[in-house]
Amino acid sequence: MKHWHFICLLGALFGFNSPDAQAQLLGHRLHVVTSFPPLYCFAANIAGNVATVDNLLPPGAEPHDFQFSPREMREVQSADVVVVNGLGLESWLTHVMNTMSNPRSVIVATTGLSEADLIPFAPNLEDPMMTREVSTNFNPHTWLDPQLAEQAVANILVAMQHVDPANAAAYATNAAAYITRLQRLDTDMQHELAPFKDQAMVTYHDAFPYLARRYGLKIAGVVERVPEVEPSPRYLEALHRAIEKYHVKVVFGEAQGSQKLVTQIGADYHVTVGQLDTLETCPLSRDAYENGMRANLVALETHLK
Amino acid sequence: MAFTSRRTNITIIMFTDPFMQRALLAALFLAPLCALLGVFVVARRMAFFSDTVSHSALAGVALGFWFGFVDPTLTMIGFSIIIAAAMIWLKENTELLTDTIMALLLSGSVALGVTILSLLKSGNYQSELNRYLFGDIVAIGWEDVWTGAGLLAIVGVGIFWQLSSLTLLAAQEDMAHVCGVPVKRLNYVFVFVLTLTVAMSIRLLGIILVTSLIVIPPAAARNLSRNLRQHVLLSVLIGLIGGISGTLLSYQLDVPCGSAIVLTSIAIFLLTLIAGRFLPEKTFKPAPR
Repeated sequence: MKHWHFICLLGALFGFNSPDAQAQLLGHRLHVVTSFPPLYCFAANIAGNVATVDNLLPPGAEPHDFQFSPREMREVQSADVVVVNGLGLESWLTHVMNTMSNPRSVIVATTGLSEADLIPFAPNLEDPMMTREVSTNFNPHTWLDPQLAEQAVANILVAMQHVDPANAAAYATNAAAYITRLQRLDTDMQHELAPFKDQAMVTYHDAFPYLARRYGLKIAGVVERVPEVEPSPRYLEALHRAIEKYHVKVVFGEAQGSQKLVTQIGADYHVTVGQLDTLETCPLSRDAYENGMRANLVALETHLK
Repeated sequence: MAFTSRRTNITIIMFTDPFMQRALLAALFLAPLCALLGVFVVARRMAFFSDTVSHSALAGVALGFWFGFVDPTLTMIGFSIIIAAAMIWLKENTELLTDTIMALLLSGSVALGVTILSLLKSGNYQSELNRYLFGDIVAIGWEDVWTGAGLLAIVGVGIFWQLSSLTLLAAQEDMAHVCGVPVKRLNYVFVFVLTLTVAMSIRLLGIILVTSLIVIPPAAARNLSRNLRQHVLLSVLIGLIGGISGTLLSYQLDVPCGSAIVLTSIAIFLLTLIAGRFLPEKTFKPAPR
């Protein structure tokens, strides 16, 4: 059931092993299509003014659960490079990919991450009732760790250079500049979050383990174990026990989540309520990723104090 | 041994966890309220009416999100009242049969609700839909609990004050008119209160199951009661038992609250069906139509 293996295979078939991939641009600008906003930010920064980048999902749609419209089908069909995150995040894309012959290169942004980099879906709470239906055993939210995001940028760079060798140097310069900015973001976060080492928090979805691991924070539990599935009172009680056990100060909601539920948990269990952004629906602009991460940094600093 | 202590632990937690406290209180107020109204709903053959009202709430919820409300309760109640009014108007001013009108409004408002939700949430409205279709016990706030309590108080007093008129209305509308009962006004008030009650109970049971709380307790009470007063009291009691034990069961088994309440109520209905067989001949007959 590892869809991303399959996407890798597709990439291998249509992209890197295709001898005439390079000759296929036919004089038009390189057209890159990304599956969701953070990848758009990465690709747009590498592309600079040389290539065109579009994002597949309309603003506000969640990458976890999406249905294709004819417009999006055409978008994928016309792309030279399709960038996906992998790790089961785009399970909605695989069956579409099955029916298509066109995209010359499908690049999986999480390629090359070792098992040590990846975090398995681990149940945080003692809750035997929960089973998870996902297509991989690893948590796909790798982009919320800036160092793993660098790896994604490197992967996208290789794919774009491969399909459009004429502009390879320009892409490399752009990517290097962007990676410098990501490193600055990472250094800032390391520095600012250092005082909060080992502090525990509760997030809305299981989206922040990579961020927590990078900066030495703990996730005591999540409100919604499975996206879009309401927690039961029984589950919330287990969460309550975890909040007390780990001395959690803050529950972070998400813009896409139920604010009412988070507020209620805050009031009932006497913790403050904040907001973290998974960036899954962040704006489509070149600095949206950095802005989003810095906003998360401010939220963490404010509430962990 | 560990198992026993865990069991006791769960039982204690059930009453101390704020989410459960709210759910239990909501069941405590709303279940008797639905059962009380249910006696007259069943007698007047209005079960499908409450079903239509509850389904129309979906469109109200969707409209609420459209207007940008965080909590769509107001639009939900508002739209349900509009649909209830439309039902009455169509019944009085057209030649259409009642069930035709209801089927038309039910499917129409569900279609409207789903369409608006899917437009708003850009292909990601499933969770919201689930929350309202099947109830969402953890979304019950204190304001819902107190609204339920207030409604129960008002309806309880109102029904006992107007009991004879309501009974006459349920049995023979023409007779009630002749006897000087303000039939039209009483009808409107009854429909209004029923609509409010149904809308409030959706949080607990969900749109699909909410009618069961109105229909099953009176049906079970009919099996045992010998007169109207017994029927009303038993119906309230059975509603209360079904509501509370269903909520407790849903926590114990970790299943959705609405379905647990419905299955518990049906179990009680089956028990009364068997028990009713052994009772002496009942003198209380259903209203002739």
